[in-house]
Amino acid sequence: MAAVKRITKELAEFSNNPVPGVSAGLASEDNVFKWNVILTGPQGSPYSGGVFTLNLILPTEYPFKPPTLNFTTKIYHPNVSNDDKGSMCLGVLRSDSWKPSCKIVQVLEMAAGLLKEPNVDDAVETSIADEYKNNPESFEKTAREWTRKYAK
Amino acid sequence: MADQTISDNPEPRGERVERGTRGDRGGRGGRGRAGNRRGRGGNEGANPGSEQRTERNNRGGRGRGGRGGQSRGDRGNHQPTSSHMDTTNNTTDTPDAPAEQVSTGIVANDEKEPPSPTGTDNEEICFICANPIQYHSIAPCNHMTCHICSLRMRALYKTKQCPHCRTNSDYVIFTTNDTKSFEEYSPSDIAATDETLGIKYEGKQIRADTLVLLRYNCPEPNCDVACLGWPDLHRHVRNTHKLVLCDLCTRFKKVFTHEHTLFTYPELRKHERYGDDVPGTEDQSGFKGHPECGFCHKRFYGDDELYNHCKEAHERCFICDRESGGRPNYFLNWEALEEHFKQDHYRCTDAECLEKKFIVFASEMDLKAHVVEEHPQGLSKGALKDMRKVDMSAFGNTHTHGGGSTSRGRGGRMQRDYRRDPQAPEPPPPDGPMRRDEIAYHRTLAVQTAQNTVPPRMFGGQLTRPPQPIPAPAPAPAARPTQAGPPPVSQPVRAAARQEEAFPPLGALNTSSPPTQALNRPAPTRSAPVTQTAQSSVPANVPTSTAQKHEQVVGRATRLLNGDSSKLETFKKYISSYNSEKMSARDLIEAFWVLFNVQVAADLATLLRELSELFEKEEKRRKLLEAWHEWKSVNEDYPPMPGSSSGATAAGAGGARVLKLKSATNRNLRAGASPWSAVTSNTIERGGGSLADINGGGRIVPGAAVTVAGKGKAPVTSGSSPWASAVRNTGSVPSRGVAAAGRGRAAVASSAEFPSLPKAPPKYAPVPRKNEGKAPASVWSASNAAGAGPSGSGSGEGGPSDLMIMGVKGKGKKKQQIISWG
Repeated sequence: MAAVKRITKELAEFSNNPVPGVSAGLASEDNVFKWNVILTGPQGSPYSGGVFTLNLILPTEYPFKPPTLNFTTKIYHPNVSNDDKGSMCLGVLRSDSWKPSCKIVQVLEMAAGLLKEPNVDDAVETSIADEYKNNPESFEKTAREWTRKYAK
Repeated sequence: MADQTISDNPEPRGERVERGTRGDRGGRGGRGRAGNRRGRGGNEGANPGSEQRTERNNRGGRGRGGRGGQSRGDRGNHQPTSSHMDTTNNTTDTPDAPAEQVSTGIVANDEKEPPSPTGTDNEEICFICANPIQYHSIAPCNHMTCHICSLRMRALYKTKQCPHCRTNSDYVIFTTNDTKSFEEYSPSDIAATDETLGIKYEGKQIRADTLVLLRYNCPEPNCDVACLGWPDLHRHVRNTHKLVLCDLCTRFKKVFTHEHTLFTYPELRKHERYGDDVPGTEDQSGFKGHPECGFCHKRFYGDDELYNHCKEAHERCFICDRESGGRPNYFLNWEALEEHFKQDHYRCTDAECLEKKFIVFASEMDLKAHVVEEHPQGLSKGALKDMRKVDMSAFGNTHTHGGGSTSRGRGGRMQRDYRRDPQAPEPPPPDGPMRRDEIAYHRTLAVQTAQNTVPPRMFGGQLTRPPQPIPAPAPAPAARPTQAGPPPVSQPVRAAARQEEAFPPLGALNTSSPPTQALNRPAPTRSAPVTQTAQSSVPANVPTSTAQKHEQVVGRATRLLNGDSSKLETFKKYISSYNSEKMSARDLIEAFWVLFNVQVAADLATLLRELSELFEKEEKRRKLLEAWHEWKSVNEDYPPMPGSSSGATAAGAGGARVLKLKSATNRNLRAGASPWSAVTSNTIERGGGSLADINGGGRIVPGAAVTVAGKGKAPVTSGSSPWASAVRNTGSVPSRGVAAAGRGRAAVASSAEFPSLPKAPPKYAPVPRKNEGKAPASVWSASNAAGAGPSGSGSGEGGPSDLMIMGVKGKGKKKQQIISWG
């Protein structure tokens, strides 16, 4: 399948040119469709100091269908669903806006970018988004707390 | 001079198109420009001489690696991290740029065919699929992919979007020339055009090579047969190769026909249940099996399809759904749901409410509230009071002074009831989405208000109201058209109506989209009955005049096209060109198929039948219908490959091409990029032993052993050699052993699970059985030849246990069979 070849290529590229703050690799050596991703909380954000693990699942039809990205570490973030799935809401990952030319590394960069700056317009947790907009102090406090509690 | 033209060209295009575009598109543009840039800006102290040299280097030696795959796409995406070229271009001199070049160059080299010093185009790698590009597909946005990716998007995913930028393009150009921009093509450059796919071909050969992909090519690697349609292909692989295709995959999987996988029946069962993902191999699919509906024991292609099925065919408990946080809780049907309500929730047992079908509550308290409110008649004053007391205390302090606005709607209503204020307005709907029972309740109230002059909330009013023998068949609220039927007469009918009322979404689904679609799907003769039903149902409102008919056709077409007026124009254009003999009936139908993009042939069937009635000439009408029937018989209800059935006529010419193409689209299996090959070889080494059952790719020695042994042992039947060849072709012995072990059941179950596959000619049935009965025995006897008796029964126990892991269960039975055959 085309998918494996492309994923392998992207993996090689990623290991040659890692993205700062992001480390990623295959969850198990013999399955290219599942990646483990580790994001480190960016300095200056409430997630600073935290280490967040994510699962990146690539569909068999990749790159014609988008991957999915789930936080396995609990995180207080407007764009991450606050449930056992921890689904990350990224615009590019929606199947109607996904482009086959989009690469995993871009997805990961965007995920890392969202830690730096949440995107309230694309929020999956609207209450957290409201808090982020209207009461940033309280948002930061909770986010920091959660980071300390779950992401250390 | 050549270098000059190359470096000149991309600049204007680069300016014209956006940065990303420029990079994406410019396999060649990048090549020339990159060299140019670096010479100019990047390489400090550049002079014309060095510029020339750099450029030449780019094109010749390193150009292959850089230009192939890596550089091309990366640049387009502006990944500062992932593209050495980009880095060089945009940030001038990044310290790590050279290192990147080296490393990516290596990767690219790994992926390549034997390097050719001339650096011809076929070494470029498609950005999307990472395979070498044979032909380029260029879109109006000047983005390039390989022709296979482009065709995949257009023919299989049925989207005309550019895979790079999602721009819709009516046409793309398939070409060997990667330096010419889309605008530079004049009509004279185009050798052929495919309107339905929206592809223009620079040469006839390209067109032939493209259309060959769309034929029903047999997936067997060494078979160059192209079939007429899916049913034909199913027959072919079963009769010729003794293998089967997965029915669900052929319907839904977006791959070219030759990319499908062939299975033995047991392999197919494994494929359906667990998927055929082979971790660690290069062709691992990541596929985890087709999910099964727990009620119907029917499998669906993916989770989405299963979800749709459950939504249509089964019922959800809204109370459980709410409690489980949105996770659906399904029940087989209404009866099962009712039973569940009875047992696990609080159902109002009042006759009226029972009839309403499911006035049911999550808690006893809610139920009591409902009883007090709706059915106070049956209760003594004391009992009524008691009930309220319980409720009041349960609701707690927050509700005692609140009046209407409480978080729980029922609490609020209770309060007002208690005050017995006849003038109190209707309780406002509680905040947020109402539960279904609440919606139903409100609706009932509305009906009562409309019907009775007595204010509904008045206690006395309720008492004096006649007991309502037939509860308000109701001049239903406008939003509920399903209610419009005649007053219910019989119990079941009324119940049904009530169901719809109480559970609008489910009810609507149940009635308006009956599961006929699902039921029909597997039947091989499906198209025919569907057409018939369509025909028989239509006459009720058959329009008499031509104008009306015309209107009906246009209306239906519009509906099928989702009101897309430009498509409607195309539709009309097709018809007129058919009318004026410019288009054959067959082409017309295929054009329709692509245009309407329908999943179900029945939609098209109705449209075509209506359309055929519009033609005044009898012959036109007949030809259209004939073509339709022919098309239908070839395609049945499978999604056909656009343009393929006509392509099938070229079967003879394409044989060699197919084989070549198979190796092209499977090339990745061999290629092996660096991190991966290590893993793979590793796995394969282990694969002989414990990884036996997952080592599907291992077409290795044991296969031969089976073949030989099988031949020796097998009863003298014509089946033995096909069987042997089948073994050789599909490889993995262990799964074959497993396969054979499960065979007894497989034969029965598979025929039940795949009703749509035409029945196999009976003569084949016993043959594989015999052989497969033998097969495990021969495996054992081959592998521990020393102790194997001819019966094979003794060796069975001694066989390598890891081979038998999955087959253990069936072994006993198998042995018996072997004996009985011997």
